[in-house]
Amino acid sequence: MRLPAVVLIVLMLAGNALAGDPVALRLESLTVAPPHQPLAVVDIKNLQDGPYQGTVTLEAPDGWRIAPDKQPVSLGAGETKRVSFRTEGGLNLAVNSYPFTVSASAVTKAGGRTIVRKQNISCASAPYFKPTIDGDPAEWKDAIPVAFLVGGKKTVLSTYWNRRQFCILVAVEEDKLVRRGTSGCFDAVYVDAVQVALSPQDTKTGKSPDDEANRFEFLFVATGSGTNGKCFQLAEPGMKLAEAAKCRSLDGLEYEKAQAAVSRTGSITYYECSIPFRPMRSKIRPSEGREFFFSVLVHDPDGTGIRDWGQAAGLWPSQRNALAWSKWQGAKWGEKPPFDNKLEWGLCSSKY
Amino acid sequence: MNYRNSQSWTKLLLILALTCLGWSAARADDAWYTPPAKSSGEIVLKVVMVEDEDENPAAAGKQAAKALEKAMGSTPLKAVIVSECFEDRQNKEKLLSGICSVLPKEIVLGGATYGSFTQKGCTDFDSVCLLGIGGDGVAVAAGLVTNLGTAKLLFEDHRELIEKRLRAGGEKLAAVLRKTDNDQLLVLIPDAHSPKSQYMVEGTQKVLGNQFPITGGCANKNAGQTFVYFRGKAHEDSAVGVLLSGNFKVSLSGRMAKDNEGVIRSANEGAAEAMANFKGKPAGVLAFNCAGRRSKLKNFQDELDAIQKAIGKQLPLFGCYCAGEIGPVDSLEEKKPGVLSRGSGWHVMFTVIGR
Repeated sequence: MRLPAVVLIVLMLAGNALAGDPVALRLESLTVAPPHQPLAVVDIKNLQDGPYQGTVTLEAPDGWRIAPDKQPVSLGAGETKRVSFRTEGGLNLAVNSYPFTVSASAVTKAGGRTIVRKQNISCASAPYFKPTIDGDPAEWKDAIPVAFLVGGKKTVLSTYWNRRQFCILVAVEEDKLVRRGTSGCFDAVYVDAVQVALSPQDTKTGKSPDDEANRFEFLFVATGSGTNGKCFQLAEPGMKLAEAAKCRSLDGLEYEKAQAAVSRTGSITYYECSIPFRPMRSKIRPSEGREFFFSVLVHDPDGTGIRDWGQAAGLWPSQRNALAWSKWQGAKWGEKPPFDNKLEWGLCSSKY
Repeated sequence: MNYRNSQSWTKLLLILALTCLGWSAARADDAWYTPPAKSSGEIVLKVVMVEDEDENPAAAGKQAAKALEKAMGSTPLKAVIVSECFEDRQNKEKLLSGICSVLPKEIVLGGATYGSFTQKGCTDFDSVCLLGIGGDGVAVAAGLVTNLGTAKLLFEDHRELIEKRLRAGGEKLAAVLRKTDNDQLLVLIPDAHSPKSQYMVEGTQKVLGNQFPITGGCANKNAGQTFVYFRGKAHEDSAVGVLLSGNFKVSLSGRMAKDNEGVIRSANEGAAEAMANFKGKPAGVLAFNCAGRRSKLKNFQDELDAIQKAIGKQLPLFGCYCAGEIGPVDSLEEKKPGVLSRGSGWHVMFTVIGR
């Protein structure tokens, strides 16, 4: 007699695959605003030693339509695939957080096991605009804010682009801003900072120290007084990952082509920065609809510690990678390495 | 006679020819018309594209205009449609002044786009593409509506107001374009990106009818870049219509896609369908394409290669990357029975013109 199919439902609310799960699931951030019918992309990784066959199903927020909402998938042992779903009917929400549910049902003779992940995703895209980099966040109302919480403190990432610059505003809720150099000793004191990495689409971070970096990596810190800020370039494509992973002094890494202004209002520190596209243009071409990778670490050493957009965006624990980020003197690193630096981001048209 | 004098004389003769042929201005927001087409007259479409490597938009405009003038040979221009992607108003105006230093500004129309493509390649940075329309076999009516009142309205917040204003704008625009038995194609260039553009198309269809062939592309929607061009001048929150008339035919096709393979495949299918449905000798191809589609391509050239497999490499091809496309929509959800053209996104809209 054949046994009835057994269906197990496992909720993966925190994005951590449980031991014994056949697959891990993750929804990528949207890179196109909901009204423009973005593709919703599900990453699925086979955690088994053998092949996996199943169906991926996507449930959208109210008002959205997914057609078709089911797709077959087959994976070799350890293989990861991206499965795209067409969306329609989505509208922008001011909070820029959209609740999706993705599930994967295995197809086996004994029945299927269903893994479910509920995940709120954001539209991670930079509208076209030319802000003045002065530390005043007033010009950023037409950006698409991406917010996440770590240790009860809020971080909001906003981006703009134009032909000449990629611009970033990071609003960091924190008790105190620690500037670089306030004690007179630049590298010995832990400082607040924002560390970002930009990489071309379809690149992967190496896993060997001998591999080459494929990222442009920058650090922004508050210096002196007022809205003074400084940018340092930590890595560029071609650099050995081992070199980037060494803990280096920031002295000599100043990047004068970038602009940085850091201001503080109440409990919020605003890092407003711009990075010139020209040195990156052959790898990341500034044009409408361009997709690339953009990742952020917020350093709050006397508060929450490191705030990692990779974790908030739902990367799997297996995607932590010590070679993904440069070490620098003045940073306070956690016990575990940060997540990978390959988070989806887009360049889009202006809001109106 | 030196070259400069030759150019000046050509320009003067062109203006005189337009005047003698009865080119006239009318007042709506603005409109102008050429005389009716001759039944057996020729239809000449020529396309040129210039990439500016020197950050000198005026020189690029002048170079493109001279190249178009040369390509047209002895055929007087009736209209020039501009697709350009220089950054900021000052550079766009320098470009227009360069174009209009060679060609009569009265016939220079078009819009800011995200780039252009022709048989010679694709551009997305500081470039201009010109479509020259000439010959006794084609007549042009061109119109402008301004102050649409929707440029700063968000679709999700002001949908009803956008619908009302753009339908009215579309109707007004179509009404100033003379409707004759010989009207064949409306090229619509609105500062009203997808999904707003659909309402403007519906407005024009109130005058022209649901089966009238309409194609076109929405202007670049980036802050400070949103312009349409009429009589060589930039206008915001406006729309330009170019109605082509004469004893010729058009064949339209549209396809939608959102991934690399789909964009390449759909471009080939759409172009092939437009060619297959065209019974006659094509004179040129218009392709209003989505900038979002381009962004999904690993290599821009792959889509152009797919188009060229369908239309060949000889026909003049005027392509531009837009913020919304107008033509026969591909999506079942968006299709409407009895309606040929609609405004949408993620599409490439082909039009084959010829006799």
